[in-house]
Amino acid sequence: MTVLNKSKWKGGTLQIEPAKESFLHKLAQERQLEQQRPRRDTDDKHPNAPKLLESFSKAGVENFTMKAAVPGTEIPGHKDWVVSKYGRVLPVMQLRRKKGTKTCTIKYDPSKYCHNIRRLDPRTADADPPTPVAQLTWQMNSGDDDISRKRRGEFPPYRPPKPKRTHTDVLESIRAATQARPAQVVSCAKLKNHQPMNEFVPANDKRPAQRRERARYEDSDSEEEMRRLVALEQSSHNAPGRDVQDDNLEVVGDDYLVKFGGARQKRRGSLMNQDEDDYDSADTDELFTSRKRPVPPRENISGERTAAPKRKLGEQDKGTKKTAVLSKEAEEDSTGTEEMATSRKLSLPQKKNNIPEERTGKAKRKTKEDNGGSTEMMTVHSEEDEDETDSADSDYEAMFANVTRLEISLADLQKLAQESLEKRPPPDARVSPARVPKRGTLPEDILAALLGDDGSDDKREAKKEKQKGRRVARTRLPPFRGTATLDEDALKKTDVPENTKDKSDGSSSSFDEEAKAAAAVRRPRLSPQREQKQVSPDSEELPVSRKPSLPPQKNISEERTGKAKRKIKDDDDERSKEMSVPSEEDEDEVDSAESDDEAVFPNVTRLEISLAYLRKMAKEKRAPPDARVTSARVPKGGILPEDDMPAFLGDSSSEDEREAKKEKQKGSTVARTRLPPFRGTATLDEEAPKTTGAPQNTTGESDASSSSSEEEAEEAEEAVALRRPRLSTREEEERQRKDNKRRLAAVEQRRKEAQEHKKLIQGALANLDAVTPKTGKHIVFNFDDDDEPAAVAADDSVPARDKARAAASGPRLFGSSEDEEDGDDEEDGGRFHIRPQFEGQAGQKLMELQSRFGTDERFRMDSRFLEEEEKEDDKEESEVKTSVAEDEDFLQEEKRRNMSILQGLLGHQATSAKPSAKTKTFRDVSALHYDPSREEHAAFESKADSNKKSKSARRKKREEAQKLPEVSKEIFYDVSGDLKAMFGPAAVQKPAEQPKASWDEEEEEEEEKDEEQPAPEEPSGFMFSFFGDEIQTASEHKEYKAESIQAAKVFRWQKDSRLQDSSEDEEDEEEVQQEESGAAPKNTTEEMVSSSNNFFFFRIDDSRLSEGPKWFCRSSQLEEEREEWEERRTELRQEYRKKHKDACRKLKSSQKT
Amino acid sequence: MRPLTEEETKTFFEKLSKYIGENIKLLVDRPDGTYCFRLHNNRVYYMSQNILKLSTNISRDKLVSVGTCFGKFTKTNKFRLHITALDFLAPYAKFKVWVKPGAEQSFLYGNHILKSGLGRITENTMQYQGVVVYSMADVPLGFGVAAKTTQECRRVDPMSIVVFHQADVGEFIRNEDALT
Repeated sequence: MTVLNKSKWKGGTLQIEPAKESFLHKLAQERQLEQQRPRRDTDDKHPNAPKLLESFSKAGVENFTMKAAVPGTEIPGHKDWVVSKYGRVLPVMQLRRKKGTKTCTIKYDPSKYCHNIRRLDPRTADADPPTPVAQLTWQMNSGDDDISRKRRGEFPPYRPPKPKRTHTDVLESIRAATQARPAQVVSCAKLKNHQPMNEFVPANDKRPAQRRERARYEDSDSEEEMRRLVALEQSSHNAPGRDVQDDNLEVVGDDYLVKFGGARQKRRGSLMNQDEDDYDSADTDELFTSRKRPVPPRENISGERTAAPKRKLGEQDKGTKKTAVLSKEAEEDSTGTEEMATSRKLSLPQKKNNIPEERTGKAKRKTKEDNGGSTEMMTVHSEEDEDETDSADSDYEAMFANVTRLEISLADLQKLAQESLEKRPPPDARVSPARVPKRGTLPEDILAALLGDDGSDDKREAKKEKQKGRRVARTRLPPFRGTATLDEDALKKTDVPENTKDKSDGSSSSFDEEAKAAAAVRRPRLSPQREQKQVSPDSEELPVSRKPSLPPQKNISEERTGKAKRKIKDDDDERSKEMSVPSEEDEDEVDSAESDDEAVFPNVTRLEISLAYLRKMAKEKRAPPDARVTSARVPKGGILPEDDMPAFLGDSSSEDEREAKKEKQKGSTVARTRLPPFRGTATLDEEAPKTTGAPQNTTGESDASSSSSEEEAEEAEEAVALRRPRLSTREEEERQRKDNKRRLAAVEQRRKEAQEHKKLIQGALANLDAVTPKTGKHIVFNFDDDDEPAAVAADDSVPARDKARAAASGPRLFGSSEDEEDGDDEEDGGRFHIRPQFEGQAGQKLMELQSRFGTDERFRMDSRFLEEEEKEDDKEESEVKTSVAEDEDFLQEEKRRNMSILQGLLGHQATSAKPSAKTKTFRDVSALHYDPSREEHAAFESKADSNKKSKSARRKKREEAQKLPEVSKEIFYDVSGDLKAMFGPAAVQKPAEQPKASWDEEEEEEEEKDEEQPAPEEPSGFMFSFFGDEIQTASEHKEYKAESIQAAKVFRWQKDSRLQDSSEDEEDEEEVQQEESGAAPKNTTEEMVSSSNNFFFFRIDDSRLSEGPKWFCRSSQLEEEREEWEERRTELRQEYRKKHKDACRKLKSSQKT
Repeated sequence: MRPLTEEETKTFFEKLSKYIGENIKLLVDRPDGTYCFRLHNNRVYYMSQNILKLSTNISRDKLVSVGTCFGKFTKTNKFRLHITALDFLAPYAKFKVWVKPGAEQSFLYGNHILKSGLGRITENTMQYQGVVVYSMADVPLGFGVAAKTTQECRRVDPMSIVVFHQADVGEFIRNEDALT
């Protein structure tokens, strides 16, 4: 190397050195070194540590702890090792710290500080293997949306940025964000309205401006943009896992009626009056939120709720309310409507409380604590309501809420009310159908207690139906009466029957309470006006009502009846006093009527929910209401119906008839207390005797019915169902006549009032007129100037000339100059001459001219002017006419063209579309008043006749069924000793098929005889068979069932005549079927009997004995059955709700029309 | 001011029929008088005959508006409904959408209606069907185009658009200068 160094090579000097190592080579070497070094290090380390330990051990340190050493002592032989606190040996650390520019070292002496050393266990560190670096990055399973795709590096194809894009991007980003955080999405969904919007608004702030820009300048591409938007939407939303369960979206049909806009919508002619809208979004907002989430502050919600459904109520019950309001005076009416309006508008609970306040103000009873108490109660009731979460029942809730509200409002009888509250079973019971039966039985129990003596006395346990019927009658009646008492107006009466129908449904359930509430409402009203007569019963009733538990309830219910009765009397008193102006009490009555109406409805729901047997009961009950409807129009006679007379007539009627002795222990005590006032009313009231007569009638009837024990089963039904009709047949006409008379009187009175009103107005106007001439006098200044003809206020210049005439003419406003001129010979009538020149089109013009000139004599327009102008006018007119006609034609043609275009567009429409003939003509329901003298009002009469007819037909049918079939006398039976033949079922039917020869021949002979006869009725013939008999009763039973169903059909909302007809048909069909079935099952049983050869008496090894018990055993597990029921229940409930909705709708529509 | 040409009428009716369908004929053939559509300044006005006659007294260049403006023809001869037509669309609307109270404001600011703001919708609404938008208190707020069918509306997530905004009563303020 050195030799060759600096040698010359091709004219240059070579510098030769060892070459630099290659980088790669160096690297390889380094790596090799590194690999070797750690091994060495570890080798070094390990020897070090034992050394230290060794030296430590020498110094008396074991396992880094030095016992019995003061902290801070240095370890001998080891620098910087000190004994720290707790005796551990630790090194003193030198920590370098940079503080600004200068560095300083801090000596950390462990003996000065508490230490907290944790020993790392190498084994545990080894135990969980270190995660490889490759796996240190973690990934989120993000969705398939744009953002996450972008994160992954997949970019969508470039789109030119447009104003739209920013918006969509924002949208998407938000969407992506929400997707990435599903919890957030959920919360958004839960928070409903506000949250998403708040999130959104700022993001979209740019939009309106852009939109507006676009609206102005790029209108044309709106469609394209929309398409693009749609595409975007689809692309972004068709991602999987997007199916968010729709929770609160409501889908409505095409025929959905806009609630408040609806009225406006119907007014198609006048579309502009939108200012009438009472639009308060805040209200709806609250409503909404309260609907959606049941939040702890319940009181608030309840207030809103009651407000919200109330609006609905206001809509729905407008008709009924109006009719109810009818009896009030005009001003009262207005206040009522105001109330309604306010209640509809206001949602705040405080304001709600104000309304009761108003009402109670009218009732003259209001204290502040009551108000407080009322709110409490309101909350309680609202809790009940909330349990019924279904929106479909919101109307009912509303009504129910109303009821409570009323009750509250008259809470000055707070004690009573509280009692009623206590008695009220736990509110939840109302909801679950499983518990409903309990509720349903509740009133029964009460009534059982009420009628306990009757029931025990009766000894007819088999006829529970009857009891039920009676109970029903009683339970149903008080509220009915409550409403009936208010039926002074005939119109209301038309409503009432329907109410009663509804009531019949509700009678089984917690209806007592409602009625009680009504009673509570009624009570304060009555007491001030019942001075002497009522004092005693009241004082008796009050202590009674204070008793705990059941007895008070009973008493209250009875008290209520007493109340109602007194109420009647009260009404009569009023009427006798000829109080044309209804007092506040009257208004209150109306209120209570409303409350009753409302109280009725919830019952319906509750009943419908209830179980099958309840339903059956209800069906049985439905027969009576029909009867009641017929006589519902009877205002006072009908008010004290026969059925409930026993309830409060004390010793009279049914109790008498049954000769109940025990009842006097209980029932009569109450009854007696109540009796005096009643008699008082009887003496006062002219119609009360009649009512007392009525029950006697019924008692006579029931006597007759009770005489025959066979008919009792039938009578049980009939006694309830038919008492009414029978009575009505007798007295119906009289009563109706009376009613009509009263109605006519009412109409007359109304007319008179209207006339008076008119007169009043006229009088006021006349006064106004009278004032004007006086003022005219002041204008006059030329009083004495006789010859001045043209006086503006000329009237008073005339009397100067002719005083007599002036006196005759009196105030003369319209005296013209002609009059003056014509002088005295022309009388007053002259100025009313028809002037021919002012007639017609031209005349009008002339008139205008004349009026322009005033009364100036010189420019008087007479007929001469007319003649001349006529032609010109004609010309002009014709021109105008032609132009108008042209215009018209033009417009018509345009219209035609438009229509043709439209037709081309829509395809199928008829050209000159008639303005939909369906447009309903508005009928003012409030003005509706039943007038018996008018023909068309016959439609309002409830058809009692058809019912009666059907009833009578039914009765006849029943009788027929009851009657044993006619047997021709010629047939005789040869009684053989053969028991089998005797008890065997009618072999008469198919004797030929009977193999038995023993009596075959005889039978055949008989058969022949039969055939000789026409034998038109009952082809089955006489059957002497126990089993046959049973069949007959079974068929009878079936008939009952069918009947009850038929009765149930006659709901208010199904009062289509069509339906009734069909039901009639059904009946007929049933008859036929019955006849058929009467034959068919006989055959089958015959066969069965003949095959099994069963006797009437049981034998030991009778198959029936083995079969029979099976009927009592459960075929499936209880659990299964329950489950099955659970499943079915929801279905049933839905079914019911649907039906109920339909019914509601029908009801509404029927009310509207 | 002139009556609409055939083509214009067709375009106009096509647009209108998206919202009120065959109820257009109730507008054309009204029982309470003769009403007609007139074009003025590219805008379509709906007015009664009487007003039409009265309006002839005003020179065309001075006439700003007459009757009710239904909308205007764009430069590309498409028709665009204005919010002023709402008075006539709302009562005859075949398909409606109700907006929740919380989403009302958003809609009235010109935004589309999202699923979260959708309170109620007429059943069987087709896609791209013109709908009239109501508040939950049944106050007409405007109109739009259904972005989804009723069935789809049930399923989509709450942030998706269900109704495209077309016009809302907020325009009375926002677009005050442009509306006639």
